[in-house]
Amino acid sequence: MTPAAGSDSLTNRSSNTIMSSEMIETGCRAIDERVGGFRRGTIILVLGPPMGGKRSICRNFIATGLRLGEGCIVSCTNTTAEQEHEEFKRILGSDADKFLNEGRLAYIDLFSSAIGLPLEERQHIKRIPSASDLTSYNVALRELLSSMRRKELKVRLLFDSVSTLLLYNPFQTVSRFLHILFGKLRAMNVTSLFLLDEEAHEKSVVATVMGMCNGVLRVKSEDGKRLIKYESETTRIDWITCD
Amino acid sequence: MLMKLKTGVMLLDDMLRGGLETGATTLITSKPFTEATPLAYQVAYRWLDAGYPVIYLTNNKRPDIIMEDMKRYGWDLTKFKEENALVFVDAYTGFMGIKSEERYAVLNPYDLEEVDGALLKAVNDVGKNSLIIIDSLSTMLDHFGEIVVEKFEEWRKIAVLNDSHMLYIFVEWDFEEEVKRRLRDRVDNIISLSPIEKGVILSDFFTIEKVGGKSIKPVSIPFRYVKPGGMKIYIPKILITGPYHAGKTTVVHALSTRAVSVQRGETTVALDFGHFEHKGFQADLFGTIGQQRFDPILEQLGGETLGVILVVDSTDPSSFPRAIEMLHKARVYGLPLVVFANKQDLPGALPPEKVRELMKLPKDVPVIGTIATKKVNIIEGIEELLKLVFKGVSESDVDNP
Repeated sequence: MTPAAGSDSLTNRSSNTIMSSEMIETGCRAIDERVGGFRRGTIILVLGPPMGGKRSICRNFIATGLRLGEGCIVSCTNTTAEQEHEEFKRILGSDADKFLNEGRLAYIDLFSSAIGLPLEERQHIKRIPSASDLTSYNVALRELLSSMRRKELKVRLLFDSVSTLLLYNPFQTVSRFLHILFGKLRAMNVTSLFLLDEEAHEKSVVATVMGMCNGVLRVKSEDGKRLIKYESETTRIDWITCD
Repeated sequence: MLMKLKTGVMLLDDMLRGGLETGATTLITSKPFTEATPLAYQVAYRWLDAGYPVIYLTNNKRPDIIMEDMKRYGWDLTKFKEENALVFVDAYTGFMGIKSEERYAVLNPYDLEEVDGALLKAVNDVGKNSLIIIDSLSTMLDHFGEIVVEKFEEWRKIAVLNDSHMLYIFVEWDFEEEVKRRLRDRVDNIISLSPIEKGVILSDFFTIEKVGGKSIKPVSIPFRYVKPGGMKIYIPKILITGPYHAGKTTVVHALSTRAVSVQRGETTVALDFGHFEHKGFQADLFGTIGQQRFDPILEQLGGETLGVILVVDSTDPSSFPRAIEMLHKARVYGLPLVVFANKQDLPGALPPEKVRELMKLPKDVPVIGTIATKKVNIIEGIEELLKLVFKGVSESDVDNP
């Protein structure tokens, strides 16, 4: 017999088609009001110093998606899925549990293995054996995306953070991984945020990752105010205050 | 002395002509969204269970996590590890700057010679007839570059001299074609794993590209990993169709380990869905509705089907033209087909050969006399269908003799 579906080509077929023009609400008023949000299916690199508030903007982006009825996948390399879920409970209250049980919110936990916790599998929580086992990450993501696609959900993804991957893998490995992953995410129209701690890496590394994304969101704190700057292929917002 | 051990995966062993041989090397190459490690675990378990040792080199996760993962697939290898039948060459923990508890630990995994040295020591200590798993070759390439390809000849010699089998796990990130080609040239067997992603089906397929150093005509077999159980041949869709009241729902239920039907009285008004498991095979069964007013659903259901069971009421020849019409409506005519001449226990039931004659069925379509209510010949019938679906798999032709 011949393969019913014929390899990866089907997955990638749509990747070169024109990106959708649908704009999605980000939960960050400065972006939503100025440029109408992010374009669906874009991959955005989120840069900023530690404690600059980039995580809180990212979590709002996910919470907004959940409130709008979308599917959201949170990949965490520095916190366990349970710790991350506590953060979402603070934002969404008991709805966070509801979203998790419905399978609209899912986690890929790359941290539990690093601190020696047992890799207990739970519904909608995937645990990856190590931050070097990137194939396992892909397989977990594929399963979650399939199950969300079955429910006809539009999907958002948060990856926190690329810096950890770079800590455990040679740069070449990470760039190969991101290249393949971004192709998949674009093909499936998943709007994605990838965090990177700019100061922790060489300029050339940051530039390479930046070149693979569709947009860059910078976040910093000054005098107790949070500032953002957003540049994408089609829009640009210079440093402004973000609530 | 050379020996061959089965992987324990249906069809895969046939295609490998009996399994994996000592003195040889195998590359399991997988696309980035498909896993190769569960298959390696399965082979490792088989090897240990048969009384032979396994050396597992890891450079991307801790040995205890591998043990835990294996257990999830149903293979608890603790006993073998305690007896030193299973040993790990730990080329991962060192990356974390932590001391490994394994006997064969690589202190500096960034040094290829050190990795090589630890592997050789393990091979020497463990001895002959061992299975040596390298998990993964792709990570090695990332760390050491193409020099790893040069190591291949040395490692191949180890396999030959120690009557062992080398099993490489390789994830096809976008490495240079030239590197991939050289790797492929230097191994005896190639098993490749790729995802099937069509509609909402989630499964993979494997292909054997090379056996015993010779390229073969690739045949693709769909599979799924099951916890516990490991690799199972998986057919995403078998369509069970036939005219009104022929016994389709009974067939779906008779074949299924779990099944769902939406019925009004004795008639199916939505569709039957069932899951079939038998001798390392799994399939999802979709029963259609016999009544004509549901024909649009039938057209929908036909897609992605890999095989068809047509159920007819042997006591009612007037329904036979409708049966053939249903095959056309579902656009499955020409796919592997088995006809169940059902209700053989009722008075006036036509024998299977008479059903074939009246339906003008070609000689290569098996017609099986069944009694679905008593599960008579049902399993035998689906076995016939599986034979047709996987026709030619075990006698894969050699391209370059």
